[in-house]
Order: sequence, then structure tokens, then C-alpha cells
Amino acid sequence: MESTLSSLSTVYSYYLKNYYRSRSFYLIFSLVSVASVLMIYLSIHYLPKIDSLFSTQTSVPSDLKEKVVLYLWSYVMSDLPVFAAVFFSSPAISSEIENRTAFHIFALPVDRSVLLIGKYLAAASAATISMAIFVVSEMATAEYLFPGISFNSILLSVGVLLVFILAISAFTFMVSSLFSKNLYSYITTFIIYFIVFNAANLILSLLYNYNAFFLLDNAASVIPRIFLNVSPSVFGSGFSLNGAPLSTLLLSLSIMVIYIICSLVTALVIFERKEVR
Amino acid sequence: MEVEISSLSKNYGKIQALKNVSLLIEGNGLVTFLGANGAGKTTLFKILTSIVRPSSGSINVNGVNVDSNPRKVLSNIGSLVEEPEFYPYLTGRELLEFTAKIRGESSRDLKEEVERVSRLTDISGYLERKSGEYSRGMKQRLGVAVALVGNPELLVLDEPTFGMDPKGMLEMRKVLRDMKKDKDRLIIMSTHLLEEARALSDRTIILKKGEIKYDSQGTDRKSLVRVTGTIDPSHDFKYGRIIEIGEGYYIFDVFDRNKIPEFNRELLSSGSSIMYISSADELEKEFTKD
Repeated sequence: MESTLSSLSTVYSYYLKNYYRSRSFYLIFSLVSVASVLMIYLSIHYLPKIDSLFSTQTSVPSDLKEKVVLYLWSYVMSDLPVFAAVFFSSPAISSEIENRTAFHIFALPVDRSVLLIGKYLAAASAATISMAIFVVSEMATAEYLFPGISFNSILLSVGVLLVFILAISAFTFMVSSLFSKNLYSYITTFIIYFIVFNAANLILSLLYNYNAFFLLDNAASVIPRIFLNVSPSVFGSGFSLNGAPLSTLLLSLSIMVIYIICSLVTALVIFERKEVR
Repeated sequence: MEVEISSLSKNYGKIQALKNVSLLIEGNGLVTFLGANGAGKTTLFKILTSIVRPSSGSINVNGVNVDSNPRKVLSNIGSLVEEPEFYPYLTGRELLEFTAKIRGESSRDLKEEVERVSRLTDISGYLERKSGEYSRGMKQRLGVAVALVGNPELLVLDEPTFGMDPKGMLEMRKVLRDMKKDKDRLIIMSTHLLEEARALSDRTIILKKGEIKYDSQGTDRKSLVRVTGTIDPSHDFKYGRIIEIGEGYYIFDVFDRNKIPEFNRELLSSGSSIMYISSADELEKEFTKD
């Protein structure tokens, strides 16, 4: 047990080093930085104009403005990990075959499960680190616009975001384990997440008036809904100026945890049988 | 050290890379698998290092089955299989440290071990460079250094001099010669270079199309002589016999290697027209024959 944990720690630390020195990391970091700057600009520039958007005599209450701003930040925040996961996790297993690094690691006296879990945790960590600048920008902007704001809801959304990063990374690891070419892995992840999930959502929602709560993108939509219970991706899901109820939050978290477990178990089964020709 | 290969076969779809190979390798020294590309050498090494699984048959190392207990077997094997590639953003030192840690080296001995293997393979000056910046030959040296980490009893080296310049090849052969002096170590390597097998091996096994075609162990070493010229094949030679007739040459098996001078005299006095006489290499003959 001790030696397994020691091996896991070694695998994790060296994979993380390889991740955060990679071009992919700098690319994602730049993408997140640009998104942060745009959100800061949007928040500061358009917040004073919110009142004029609603053609009423009375001004929009401050707490609603706060919720709208944080909703928008979290809405963007819930999409960014998908790009990070695609860059870090999609090639995670396929690259070992395509780049032939598997010849080195498969011949080491370490269980493949340790290699997989170590790399998975490293990829999820790299995605989390790359998201840090966005979270810090969100908090700083919120404090600037709404002095004395309570960070509880923001921290809750960041907590759910971390679970989502683990879920989307596990899911992309599973996709990656199916392929021996990085490109197939990238494309398949994008197609499943942005086309298959959306199409399934649209069909079930429009034709059967059924909320496909089990899809990972729907589960992730709970991150902005912590502030306003609005889900643009689910038709007829209702609208509430309050945050999503606890039951919705717990259901979404459960879905993410199920994705983590099922994806990792599947990836592990495939990875254990993976051969390098 | 004992490596027992029993009825080993490996299929890649319809391609049969290894066909029912059985072999016992015991003791120490250097055993070479010689074969052309596609002979099955790398597939055999991949199974030995648990990179692929056999379709049938097994390999046991010191009585432990590679397929059912890979971790235990691999803790005793250092390997370099195919052209090595490493994580490009890690330095040579980090890759060696990573391997050493996985092999259970203590943090105290880590630096010393990295220095030892990098000195042996002459990569000390490149340790702080990221492996993605290494040349083909440098990666090969790093691959051998990685295999040496932890001083394993069994070294499995797949074409260790591949991609090296002539100077690098000579240096690597010297490293291999030094390593095989270690009484507690068995080195199994592959090559497609006849002269490399000849220069380094204690035992040579020729693989062709997934089958063992020749094993120098247990084979009576013949004294073969190549005679270029014209000979009457019906002549009854006392000291040897013709075993192969080629275009303008004859291969003789001389019955007693101590009687080669007598055989030469007999040849010259037989009325044959001889241009020159040279020794014929049995390994070359086995390697080149269809």
C-alpha cells in the first residue's frame, strides 16, 4: 500500500511537471486569461447600464445585479474546463501509444492503474491551475463592483467546478483510452460534448419535454445556477431569481461523481489491456 | 537468472509475428537475437517486458510468469524496447530520477544512481536538457541509461546501437562489453547487424519470420572453409566435404579444425584451380540463407 502510494505520488508529480511545462498549458492559460480580461471589461463596462436594459422606473436591486454578474462569470467558467480537459486529458492515453512513451512506462515495475490514476490527477490539477486566474479575477471583480460581498456562493461554485473538472477529465480519459491517435481522441471528445450531448438534450427536451439531467453538460449547468436558476440549454426548465435548490445541486454533483467513477473504471479496463504494436 | 520461453506465439490480426517459440536462457553473459526487420525480435522483447501479451504460450523469468505477475518480473528487468521516446518536457535527469523512484531507489541514493548511469552512457553533459531537445542518438543513450537504473539483473536491449553514429556505436559496444563482465547480470539484446552479434555475444539466436532458425548453443561449431575457384565436386576429399556450391565458390566442412593446413594441401594437390581460400562464418551462412 505504502509503495503504491509512493509510486502514485511519483507518477503524479512528474506528469504534472510535464503538463505545466507543455505548450498546451500555456495555450489554455492564455485562453483563460483572455476570457478573464473580457469578463472584467464586460462586468465593469456594462454593469452601470443594467438599469437601462430594463425599461422600468425603478432601478434593478443591487443583489440582483450581483447575481447577474456572478451568473455570467460562472456561465463562462463552466465551459472553460472542457477546453482544458480536451487539451490535457484527450491525448492522455492515446499519446502514450502515438508518441511511443508507452515503451518506457509500460516496462516499469508499476501497475498500470497507478499510471492511469497518477496521470489523471495530474491532468485535472493542470486544468485546475489554469482556471485559477479566472477564479481570482472573478473574486477581485466582484469585490470591486460590490464591496463587502460574501464569497460563499462563489466558493460553492468553485467547489462544484472542481468536481466538474474531475468529471470532464475522467470522461476525456475514457475517450482517450479508446484510441491510439491523439487527433481521433480530440475530435471524438469535442463531438460527444458539443454535438452529441446538445443534440440529445435538444431532442429529449423539445420532442419529449424531458430534462436529460444525466448528461454531463446539463450537470455542469448547475455551476452558474448557484446564482440564478436559469438554464438556457434546457427548454422549459423555468426561471428563478433564486439559486438552484439544494436537491438540484446534489443531483448534479451525483451525476458528476457517477461520470468520474464509470469513466475511470472503463478507462482502466481498456488501459490494462492496451498493447503497443 | 533464468528466462524460459515456452511455445510462445503472437498474432497481430492475420500476421503471425512469433510462431511457437521455445527457448531456455540461463546464467549470465550476453545473448543476442539476430534477425532482419520483421523477424519477431521486438515482439519477443515486448512480451518479455509486458508491453504486449502473448497470443499463446508464456515467458517465465526466474520461474515467475511475466503475463500474470508483470510488476514482480519487471522489478528485475531494465529495458530499452524500440526507438525510445520520453516525455518531452522532462529533462534527462528528471526522467532518470522518475525511473529510479519507481524502481524503489531511496532519495538518498537518487543523485548517485543518476550520476552512475549517465556516466556509463556518456550523457552527463546533457542531463539538464529537456528530452524533447535530444537527438536520435542521445535519446538512444538516455534509453540505455534508463534501462540501467537500479542495476537490474536482466537487461533487455532492443537494438541498443540503433540511430547512433559510428563513434557512438563503438562506445555503446564497449559499455555492453563492460556490463556483461558482471557475473550477476544477463543481457538479452537484439540486433540486425551481424558484426555486432559476432563481436559481443556469448550466444546468438537467429530469428526469421517469427521462428528460431539457429541457436549457437548446442550447435556443433563447424569449421567452414570457403574456396573460390573451380573444383571437381566428385573428388573424394579426405579432410573435408563440400556442403554448398555457389557461383564460383564452394563451402567445405572440414572434419577436424586442427587439420585445416592438411586440408589446404590436399585441396591444392587435387588438381583444382584455386583463386583463394578463406574461413567461412557459420553465423553469416545461417543468417543469409533463405
